Amino acid sequence: MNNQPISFQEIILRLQQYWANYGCVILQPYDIEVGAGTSHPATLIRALGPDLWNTAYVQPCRRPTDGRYGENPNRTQLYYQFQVLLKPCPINPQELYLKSLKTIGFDLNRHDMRFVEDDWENPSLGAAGLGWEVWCDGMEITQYTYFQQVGGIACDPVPVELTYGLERIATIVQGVESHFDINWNGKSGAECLTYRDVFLRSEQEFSAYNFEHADVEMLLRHFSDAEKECLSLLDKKLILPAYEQCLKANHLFNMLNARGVISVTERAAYMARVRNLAKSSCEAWIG
Amino acid sequence: MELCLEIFMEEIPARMQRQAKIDFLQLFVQEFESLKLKCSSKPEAFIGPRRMTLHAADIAASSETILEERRGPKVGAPDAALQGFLKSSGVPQNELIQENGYWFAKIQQQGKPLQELLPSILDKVLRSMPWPTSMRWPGAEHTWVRPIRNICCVLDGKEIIFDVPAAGLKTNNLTFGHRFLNPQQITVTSFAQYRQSLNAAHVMLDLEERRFAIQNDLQKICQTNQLTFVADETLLDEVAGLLEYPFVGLGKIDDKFMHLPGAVLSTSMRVHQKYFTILTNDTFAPHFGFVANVLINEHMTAGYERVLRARLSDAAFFYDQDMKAPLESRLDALKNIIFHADLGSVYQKVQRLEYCATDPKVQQAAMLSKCDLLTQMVGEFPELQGVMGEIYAKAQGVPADIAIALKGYYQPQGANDASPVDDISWTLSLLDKVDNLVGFFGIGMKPSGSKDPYGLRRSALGIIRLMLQKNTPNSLRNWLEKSVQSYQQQKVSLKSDVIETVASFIAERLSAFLKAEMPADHVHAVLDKPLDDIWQTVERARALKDLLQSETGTSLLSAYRRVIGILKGTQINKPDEKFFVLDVERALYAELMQTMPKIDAHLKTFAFKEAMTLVASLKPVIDNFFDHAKVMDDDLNIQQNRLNLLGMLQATLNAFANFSKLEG
Repeated sequence: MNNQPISFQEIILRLQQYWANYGCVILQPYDIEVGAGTSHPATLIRALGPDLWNTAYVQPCRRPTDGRYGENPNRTQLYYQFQVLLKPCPINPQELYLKSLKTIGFDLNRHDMRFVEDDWENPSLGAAGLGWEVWCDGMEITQYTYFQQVGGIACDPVPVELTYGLERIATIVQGVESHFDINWNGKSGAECLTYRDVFLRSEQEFSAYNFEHADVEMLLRHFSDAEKECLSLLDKKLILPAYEQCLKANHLFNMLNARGVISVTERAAYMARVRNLAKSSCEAWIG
Repeated sequence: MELCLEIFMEEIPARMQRQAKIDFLQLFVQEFESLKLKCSSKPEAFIGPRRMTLHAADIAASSETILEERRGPKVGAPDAALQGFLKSSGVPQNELIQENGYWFAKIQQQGKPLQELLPSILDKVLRSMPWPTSMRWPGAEHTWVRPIRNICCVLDGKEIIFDVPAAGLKTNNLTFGHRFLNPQQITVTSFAQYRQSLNAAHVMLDLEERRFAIQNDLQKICQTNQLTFVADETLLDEVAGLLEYPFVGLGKIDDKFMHLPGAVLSTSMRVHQKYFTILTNDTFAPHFGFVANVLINEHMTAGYERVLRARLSDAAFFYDQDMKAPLESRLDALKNIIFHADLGSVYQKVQRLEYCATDPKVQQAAMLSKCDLLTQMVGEFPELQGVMGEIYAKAQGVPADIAIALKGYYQPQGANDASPVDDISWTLSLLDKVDNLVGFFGIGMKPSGSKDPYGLRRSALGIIRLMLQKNTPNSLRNWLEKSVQSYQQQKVSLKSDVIETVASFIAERLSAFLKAEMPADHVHAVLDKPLDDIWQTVERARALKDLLQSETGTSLLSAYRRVIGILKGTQINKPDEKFFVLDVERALYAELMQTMPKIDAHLKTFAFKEAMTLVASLKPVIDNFFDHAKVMDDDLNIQQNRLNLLGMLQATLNAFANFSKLEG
């Protein structure tokens, strides 16, 4: 073992290289707010249809309600996923995945790796898959799913989706306690930049924004706008732009949720509206 | 011959393994039987996270030859019919036999070598396996719980190769060791060698074997450290399904978390992390037991401890936050939680429970009963609802008997859970369930088929169990009426027949409940009237069962039948003493006159056993009557009077249960 642990950015670079070598299209993050790498159209939309599609990308994920003002070691309102989608699913996806962990410094004989049942279902998107959470020494580090259907449409061929939780993986690789202690750039001493240096202030400010200051009236207005735009784009058969408006509506809903202004009844109604947008987009894509 | 067959696949969910092993074995045995493949010793199956194995130690080399005598057309039937039969049976005409005017063909189905039969046997098994969930993957024709990656088939040491389109694979004689410790390929030559090689390659083949090892090793490691391991059966099963070879370890819990309630500690550990809780002197020890799939090292233990620390930091944060505000202060926010769109908020539900409760203590418990749903702890760990209510209430100075009820009223959960014994929990539990049934039935949301989204069957069963636990008479309808009033109070409109529909729904559940312990006709005999008192009905049914199990009971029943047969629609009046001519009828009358009020009195005081004894005591006078008196006497007055006497007897028996519903 070398003294300098693998840095956060090095983990990303190696994963990208590994999956690029496999033949994946290396994409960049989607440039609007999403709650999970799955929402990137490169996964959700491209999982449908018969064409070969292998891709890998980092996706920053926004979960406004998970903000803790930077005070919780493991919870933040923004974090990174590394997302891989392989369609069709190859014959050895588990081996490919485990090998990818080796390239980022995991000694698989020194960790307790487990595939623990965790099926994925998003009834709102008519989406479902079977798979596992991958546990490393008791910590969930990856979500592993064989997509079976999206938008109510059966996936044929079946793709496999791997979603790496990058911060969690980095804490294990670097042996640190908190996400904020992760060494980002791999330097030591004065040159070292940690996750804290990069993101602490952002966590503090965004937590305050999400929970306390976001303008509710504006959020409500933007939600309606996005919804209207999405539906009108669907009419014009502009599916990818329509889907993007659906993602926007979803994030605005999450913001409203964090502001605590949505009652339980209203929540169900808002979710149904987002659902409708997502499902219509998927159907339009296939149809 | 010895057959060793292994399906090697990606990780099977732990919760499914026990049943899968049973189903897998049974499907093979069924196939063997239907193909007449004899097994001299019982086949066995094994299961682990990545493989299912079938071992038939002594299976016939080929299926038995079957001789079938197939009937054809009538002799003399048109030629076309005969030709058709010759074709379908494959027997030449000169070998047909005539019997009872029909043509018969003796068809001999030659046994086939096992090796030839294996592909179809396996195909059938793969396509019939009842997995709770299954998936498609590229290459496979059929679905399976997770992708199959290899199939090993060895017959008497020989590799049997064939295509398995269901899984998109070709069989071979290979298997693989532990995913991480010994991933190499192993060539299989016999079951014994297979099992031994796998064991050497860190794979314990059988679920029970792993489970036993885990329990044993955890016990040992705890003993060594002067700690007590309490076997958690469910968790043992689950963990045994998550690893190929168990290594146990002991981790430490930071002292700063040991102030957290035991339920919080154990939920974080057991449910979320699959760690075993450990005791020292009957309280939680600052340790946990864990089981790894590879040899444990310090890094790994540190990792396990770190994950728990993160979980418990969250829990401690929630606990401290929740403790800042009294439970009661959350009441108002329940207005924002919808119980059901047509039945109002949870706050309204709480108000209804308070309205129905008469005891101020039950009212206070009702008021607090849903407040913990809004705590952060329950938000994070929903399974702690009620548990946290009790913990927070106690810590915030709510009287203990009320605090206990906040958790107690969730009982009974499921068919095997005990009912609460304290009055406050008992009453609140009943009110809660009655409110569910009355509300949902009142708006027409009845369970149908397998759909019961509001758990109404469970509520009904809960009410039955609560009533039985109290062991005293109790009118169900009083509770239902009160509940209906509480809805009316809130101007919630319910269907007018709600009390009847709920009562008959509970009667249905009660009927199912009773049928588990006695014949159906007994149940119908006591449930022939609209249900009101559940406990009485059950006591009555049980007394009836005791009666009918005795010889006296069965002969009483046949006497009753005789009475019914004779009476058949006759107009019945009171018997008149002046028309009695025989001693036996006077004796029966006197006995009935004396016994009827006593039975009545016993029934009124719910002394069903005593009532039953009295019913049974009538047997000699009844027998005597039938032995010596002819009911259909020529004198019509005497005849009618005897019929009247029998009518009286029928009424006496029916006071106890509706005997006409009983079957012989």
